Amino acid sequence: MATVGMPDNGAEFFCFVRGGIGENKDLVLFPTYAHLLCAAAALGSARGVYVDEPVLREKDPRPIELETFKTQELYDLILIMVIKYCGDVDVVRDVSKICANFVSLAAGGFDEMRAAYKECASEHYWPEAWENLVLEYAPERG
Amino acid sequence: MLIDSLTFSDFLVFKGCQSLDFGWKKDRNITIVLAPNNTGKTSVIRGLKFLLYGTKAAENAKTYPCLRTVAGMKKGDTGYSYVEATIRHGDSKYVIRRTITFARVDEDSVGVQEIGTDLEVTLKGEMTDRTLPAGVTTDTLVGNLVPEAMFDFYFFKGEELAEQLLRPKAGTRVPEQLQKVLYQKEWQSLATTLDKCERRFRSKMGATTQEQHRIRTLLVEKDSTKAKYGALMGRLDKEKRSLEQEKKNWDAADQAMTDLASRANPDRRKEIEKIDAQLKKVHSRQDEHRTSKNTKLAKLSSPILLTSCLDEVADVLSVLKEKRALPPDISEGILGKILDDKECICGHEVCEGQPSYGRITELRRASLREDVADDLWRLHTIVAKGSAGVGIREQVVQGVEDLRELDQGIKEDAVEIAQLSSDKEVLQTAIDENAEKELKAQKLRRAKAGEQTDMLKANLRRREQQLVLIKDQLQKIEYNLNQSKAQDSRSGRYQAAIALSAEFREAVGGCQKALTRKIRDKLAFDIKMYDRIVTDGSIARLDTGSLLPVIERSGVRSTHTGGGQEQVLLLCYLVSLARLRKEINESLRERFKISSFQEQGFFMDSVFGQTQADYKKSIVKLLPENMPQLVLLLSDQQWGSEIEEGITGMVTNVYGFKLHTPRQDIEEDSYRYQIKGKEWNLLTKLEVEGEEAYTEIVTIMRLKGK
Repeated sequence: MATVGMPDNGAEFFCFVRGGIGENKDLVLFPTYAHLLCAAAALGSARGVYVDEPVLREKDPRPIELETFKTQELYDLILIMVIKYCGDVDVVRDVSKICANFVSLAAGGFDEMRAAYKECASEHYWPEAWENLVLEYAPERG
Repeated sequence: MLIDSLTFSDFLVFKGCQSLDFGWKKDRNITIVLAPNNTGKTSVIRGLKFLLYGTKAAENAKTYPCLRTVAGMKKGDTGYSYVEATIRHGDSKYVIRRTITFARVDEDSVGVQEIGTDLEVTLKGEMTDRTLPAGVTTDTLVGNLVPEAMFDFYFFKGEELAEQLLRPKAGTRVPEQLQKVLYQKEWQSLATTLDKCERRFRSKMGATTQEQHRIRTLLVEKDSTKAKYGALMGRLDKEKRSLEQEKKNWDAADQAMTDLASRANPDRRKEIEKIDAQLKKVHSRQDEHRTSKNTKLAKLSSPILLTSCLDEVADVLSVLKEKRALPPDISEGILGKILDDKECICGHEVCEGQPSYGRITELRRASLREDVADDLWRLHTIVAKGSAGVGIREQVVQGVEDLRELDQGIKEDAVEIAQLSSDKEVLQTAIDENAEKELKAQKLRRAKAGEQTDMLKANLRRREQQLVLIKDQLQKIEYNLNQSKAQDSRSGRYQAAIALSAEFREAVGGCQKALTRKIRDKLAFDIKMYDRIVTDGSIARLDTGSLLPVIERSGVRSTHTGGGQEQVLLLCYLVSLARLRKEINESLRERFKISSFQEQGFFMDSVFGQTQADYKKSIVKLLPENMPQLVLLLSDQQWGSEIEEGITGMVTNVYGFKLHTPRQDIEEDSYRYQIKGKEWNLLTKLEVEGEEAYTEIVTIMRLKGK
């Protein structure tokens, strides 16, 4: 069974995950670790940043099974990111490649997030900063 | 005991119903019954004895029915005889009848079937019913009228009394009898009663001593309880005053609060409260918007970020149309077929350049793993611009729109909050904050004061309960004290009673001794009457040891007297006893107010015997004044002018017992009596030989009136 490890550089954002390590209930942004990982990878993908062979955590949290992403309806997004990253649909044939590319993008995304997070005065400003960060990529109305 | 009348019915010698009436007065108290020998003098005494004691002390009852009556009965016939007396004893009057029911068994004998006693008592002139107290029988009551031992003294025959008094067998009989005369038993009973009373009083005294101790304890308890009560009352008053002061303070505080409240403007405060409620609502709504927004953002973050990549990914996926994108095992022929087909994968014919669904499926089956192909075609669906179905773009566009709406909502909420906050501030500024603060403080003080007052009230209630309890306690103590005091006052009476009983006992003892002395002296003195009576120079005195008379004549001392001397001494004795009894009675009445020692009548059966005429004359003069009632039963030998003269003016009634007898050889002179110059014959000779003799009571003289 294929799993996706959590890049170590995302640890600062565990507190924004529901039930995450050091959770701040008032500032929860991501319902699961899978959502956090996916959001980080999406940011990495959007900005075209990635980390080759990032350091992954073996526990806290444990690596997430790929099946979990499917259950959370995030798998399609992963495929999009990976195809975009590889520029080839053949990548979907190899699950391990999918996972490796995905965590590379996630680690890149986490770096971006950390940079943005550093600009926040405190963790309390992060939700708003994140929202702005995300909405930068939102299509214009109409 | 005095006897008013005596009735015999077919009893002994008395045939039919016959009566003797002993009407008596203070100055006339002698009844004389003249009865020749064998005419029934002793029958009177026997009848009386039978009446008082039944057959207990009398001879065989079957000898009592009148033989003359029995002779007239047939074998098996039944009859009855009775003796009836009307007796006065103190204030009471008794009518006693003792009956013998008998049957004739054969010619010579009579069988007694039943002996019964009827008693009718009139106390102080009022008739009582015949119900006697428990344990008291008619026989007991009647028998106690005259002690049986004394019967011979009061209703005596000279010979029998002489046996007892002058020739005592063990030498103790006389003192014993005299003791009875002296009411020795009564004295003893009196002393025993006194002892009992005293013991009872002393035990009561003991109880009252305890009572006194209890009184002292109760008094101490009462004092301490009163002190406690007083202290509590003081505390209660103080607390009541505090409460009143507190109430005044309250009123003042209430007034101040009203003033402050008017300055604090409660209406604005209410408006502020309304705004607060509204604010709370808006904040809550804003929070909801934020939560929704965050949730949406969490879901949309990745798709939004990927929006920019979609075209690029679509381009990559578009290689699916090209051969090179297909795995090498897919032949060109097949791809060519796909490309020639006009049917779109979406099922639309219009999607130009798109491989038909059927062909792609075919292709997929031929070239790709099913899941990969599915993934790719799904991706194609969601990333393709303007493709049918819900693509990511549409999702993102819609989601961002929603996000903006939510954001707008949040902003509007913020505006509303700001407006409300501003309004609130305006209102708050209008409120006199100082007054409000003061009002709050006042309310706080009031609440505290309320607690204080509640505490005071609770204290008061508790205090009042305590007071009620103590009051109850005091009342109980007071009650117990009164009881004990009453008991104590009784102890005073007990003490007095003990003193009185001691005094009484002393008096009784003294009286007893005095009377004992007196009887000796009196008897000794009265026996000396003998000297006045006798003419033969004899000297009589009483032996102090045995109370027996001693006669000295011509220097010879003798306790064995002759016939005449004996008669005279006996009479002297009797007179002395009668006197003594009279004196003792008077003394008892005067000293102790005792009325139970009643006057006693005397019956004298043939007491004069063969005494000389002079003696008779001397003695008979002494009799009436010493005896309240005297019935003299005299035979012809004892009757004479000297007796008649001696008692002239003292006699109430005179009766004669007339003998009816078949005997023809009787000397008639013995039955003839001269009374006030008139001769009375008390004999009738019956003509039929063998017939039973009987006695008829003849009235010779009867005093008129009572």
